[in-house]
Amino acid sequence: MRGGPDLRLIAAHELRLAWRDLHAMLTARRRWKTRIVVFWLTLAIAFAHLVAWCIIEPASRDGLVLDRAVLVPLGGSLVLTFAVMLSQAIEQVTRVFYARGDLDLLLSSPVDAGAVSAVRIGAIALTSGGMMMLAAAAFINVMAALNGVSWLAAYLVLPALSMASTALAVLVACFLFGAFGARRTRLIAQIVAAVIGAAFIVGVNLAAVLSMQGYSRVRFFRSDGVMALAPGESSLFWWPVRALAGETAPLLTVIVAGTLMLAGVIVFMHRRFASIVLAASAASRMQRGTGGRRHRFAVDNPTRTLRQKEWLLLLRDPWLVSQSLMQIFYLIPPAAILWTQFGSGGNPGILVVPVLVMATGQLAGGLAWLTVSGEDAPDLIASAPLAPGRILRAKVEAVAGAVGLVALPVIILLAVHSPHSAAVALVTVMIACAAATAIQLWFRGQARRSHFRHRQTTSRIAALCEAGVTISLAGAGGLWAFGSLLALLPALLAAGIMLMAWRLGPGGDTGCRMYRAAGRGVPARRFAPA
Amino acid sequence: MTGSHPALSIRGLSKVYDRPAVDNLDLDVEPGAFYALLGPNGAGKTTTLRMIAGLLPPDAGSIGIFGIDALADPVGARRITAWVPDEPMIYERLTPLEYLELVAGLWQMDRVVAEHAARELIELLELGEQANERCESFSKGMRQKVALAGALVHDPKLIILDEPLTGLDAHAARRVKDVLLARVRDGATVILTTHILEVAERMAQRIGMIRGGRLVAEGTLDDLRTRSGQRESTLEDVFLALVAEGEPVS
Repeated sequence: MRGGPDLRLIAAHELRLAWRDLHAMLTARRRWKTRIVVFWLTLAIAFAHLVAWCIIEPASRDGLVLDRAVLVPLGGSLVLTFAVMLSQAIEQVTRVFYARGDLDLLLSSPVDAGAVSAVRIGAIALTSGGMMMLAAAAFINVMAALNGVSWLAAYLVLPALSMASTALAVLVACFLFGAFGARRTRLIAQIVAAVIGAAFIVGVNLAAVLSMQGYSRVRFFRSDGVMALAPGESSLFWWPVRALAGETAPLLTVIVAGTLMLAGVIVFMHRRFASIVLAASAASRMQRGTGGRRHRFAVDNPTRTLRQKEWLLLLRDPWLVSQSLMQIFYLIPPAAILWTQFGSGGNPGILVVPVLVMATGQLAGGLAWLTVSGEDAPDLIASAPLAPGRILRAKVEAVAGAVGLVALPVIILLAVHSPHSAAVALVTVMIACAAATAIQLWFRGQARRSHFRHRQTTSRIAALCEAGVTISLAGAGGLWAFGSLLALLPALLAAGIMLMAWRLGPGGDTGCRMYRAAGRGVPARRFAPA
Repeated sequence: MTGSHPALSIRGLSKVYDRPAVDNLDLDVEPGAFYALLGPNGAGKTTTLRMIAGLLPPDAGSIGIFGIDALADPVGARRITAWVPDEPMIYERLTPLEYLELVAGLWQMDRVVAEHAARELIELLELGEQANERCESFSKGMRQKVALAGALVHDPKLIILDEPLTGLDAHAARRVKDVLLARVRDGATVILTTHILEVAERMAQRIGMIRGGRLVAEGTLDDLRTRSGQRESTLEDVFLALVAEGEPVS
């Protein structure tokens, strides 16, 4: 690795880009006034602290002693955090391999490629640790307020975990690249990342379902079986948890281990990393075909043609495949509930319906964004001799078909056990999908499919509305399956959020009217002339 | 409906963003013509073409395409029109043949006719070797050719192209020009914008020059030379003279 100037130059470049990304994320790329951003940030921080207080305070009333009852759930949460960090890091490392962006500029410059790799690896650790600290800050602060300032040591543990997870991620990604080659690694790494991110949480839920017929992770961690299996309180196994509490030796060990892991990977792997980036660059220019088969030309009616186009593009999108896999992965525990409660007379719908609605609502939102806003050839579609309603219908059907493929097997399984719950699930899933799709229509913009990862940052309001409606409908579905009239409350809340989204959405009238990109006079894509 | 009508008839077409992009534009293009629309950057060429293609609603005016009122019957107008934007928009994860199949479906073509046209265009535009490769690895020139094949596969009567030759190598540019001229010979009407004045000079039967959203000169190359008072000059000289000083055509 060449010396300082290259590293400093690239590091400064990365920092500037990271800051602008963070700013864009906070402001959703709009020109908000600073005081408005500060107001909403303060409100969000206060709310997060209130939630953290409500969760932590009951457990801290009698003072927190690091015995097994505390070590096991905290350790479980730490493993969960690490799994999420590792998943994100693998995803980011893979993205660095394949994203061209400014890499073509940097790698074609006289700057040492190893320095570029070293800084990129460091940036991944920084981003991953920073995001996790933002998410955990409220919990750390409340823990420190209730149980002593030594818990602020968690602010040092999280970066250490982030460094360790990034180091592991680089090793995993390099291994995958060596094992599967440039062309396949992208998809495989994304699937591996998705599975790692969900595996622990799904695994614990599954274990809880199978062992206790329940869904609660905390109850599972505190169950007699887990307690009996857990190592003794003095075991080194608990050092990361003790580091969180600020115990000196564990804290120093965790920090040194994390730093050494990352430094080792940077020193020993940066050349390999750089060579992979170059190899991936060549791979992205490799041609992918249909295996030499002669294409059987088929022409269908326009609606079916559009629908099939959407499905084909969805199937050929590795990122989306991994995301869909994640959604399906989360459906395993509710399916296990159905399995274990079959014939027992219980009502699994209370648990299955909310999970199903959450999973399918999120999936529908993502797919709707892809088909509506992530249209790569908007001019072709808009200039086709089709009525706008027909185009819209085909796109909505494409979303509904894909979601149905995921949801229907679970609903059918549920119907065997409880027809009432299955009917509730079917209705609620349909409403959630329709709502998520409608929000994407009201807030539609013009983007490329490759911008899918950033869809939440382009319209923060749409993302919040989509999440709010899905959560409300999940609650309504669960209560309805239970037979409670209280289901009306979250249902009304969902209706209120939809109304708000409709009012706020720039395209929120018929879903087909054109709107202009705010303030720039640039016409956004539309389906038909006004 | 398309018999004796002009291929394109525009009256009083206007579009205002923060300033007028197209300002009370009148334009007629005869069927079977190769028409070049020229103008400096920001003159309103692309806005005009997008309004003709039905991608942008005008603030005022009318657009007739072979006698069809494009604002009252946009679907009917689009059925006989093709649009190729300056930045080719194709699907990265589709192959050229799949892309043409999609276009054929959208324009409701007969399968046999569509397949014949698609394979012919693939060969004409020298995309045969890549016909079954996904477009994600294609160069800009190849994407441009795929987009052009998509525009031509449904045999449109009016072909609108925005800077179709940008990014093409000499060989590919020649191919595209040949294909477009062949379509004109077969009776189609081509309207294109280009900054390569040599293309307009050699290919276009009529040339329109716009500046500030208004038509400042229009006619054959000889008409324009006469109007500029430079009878032996190149189109470049004529363009610079007329666009720099020209008044709107009455």
